[in-house]
Amino acid sequence: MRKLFIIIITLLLLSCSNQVVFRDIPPPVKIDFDTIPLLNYQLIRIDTSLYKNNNVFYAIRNDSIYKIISKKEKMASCEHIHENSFYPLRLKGVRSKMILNYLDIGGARMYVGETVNFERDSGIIWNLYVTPYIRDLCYQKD
Amino acid sequence: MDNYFESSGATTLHEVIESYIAGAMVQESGVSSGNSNSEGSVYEEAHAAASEIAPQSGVPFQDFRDSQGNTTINKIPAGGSGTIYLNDGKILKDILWTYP
Repeated sequence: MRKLFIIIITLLLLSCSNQVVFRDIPPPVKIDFDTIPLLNYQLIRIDTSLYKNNNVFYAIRNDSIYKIISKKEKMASCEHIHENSFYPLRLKGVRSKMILNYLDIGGARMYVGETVNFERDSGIIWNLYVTPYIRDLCYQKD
Repeated sequence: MDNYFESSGATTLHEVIESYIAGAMVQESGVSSGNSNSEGSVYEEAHAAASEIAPQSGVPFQDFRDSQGNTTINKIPAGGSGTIYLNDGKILKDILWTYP
C-alpha cells in the first residue's frame, strides 16, 4: 500500500511538471536541402568537447562564419572531416524568422535536447546551421 | 524570465529602451525602418545600444519544429510545435512560451 502511494504521488508530480518530452531532431536528409545551393566552405575549427551530444564546426565563406552543428553518433568508416579543408555543403539555419527580436534569443535546442548557443564574435553569424553533408565527424558525399 | 534570473523589470526596461533608441534613430536619419527581417533595419544597432544601457536579465532559447520533428524557421506548420524556454546552461528549466 505504501509503495502504491509513493508511485501515485510520483506520477502526480511528474504530470504537473512543465517539462516537455523531447523528441530528437532527425538527421538532415539531402532531399530536404535540394533547393539550397551547394557552396564551398572552409572548415576553420572543429569543437567536439564543448557539448556532450553535439559537434560544432566553424565554416567560413565570404568573410562570414557559419556555426554548423552535427550530432555525436557512432559512424561506420567514413571520410573524416579536417580543419582548414574545403567542403561543398548545403546549409540550413535553425533560427526562427518568427522571432523578430532575434538577438534576445541565446541559442537553440539541438540534438538529444541539448541547448547550443548562438555566437556573434569575429564574423560568426547569429544562428546555427545543419547540413546532411556532415554526420558526426564525417563528410557525406553526394 | 526576469523572475527566473532574479532581476525584476530588467528585460521590460531593455525592450522599452530598445524601442526608444530605434525611434530616435529613424527620426534622426529620416529613414523609416522595417522589422528586423527587413533590409537596412535599425534593430541590431538599437539592440546593441539598449544592451549597454539596460541589458536583459538573461537569454531564452528556441525550439521550433515541423510535424516530423525537423527544425523549422518560418511559420510553424500544422502538427508542428514551438517552445521558448530558459535553461541553466545545460537542460531545460522553464518554459516561457509554447505552441500549440
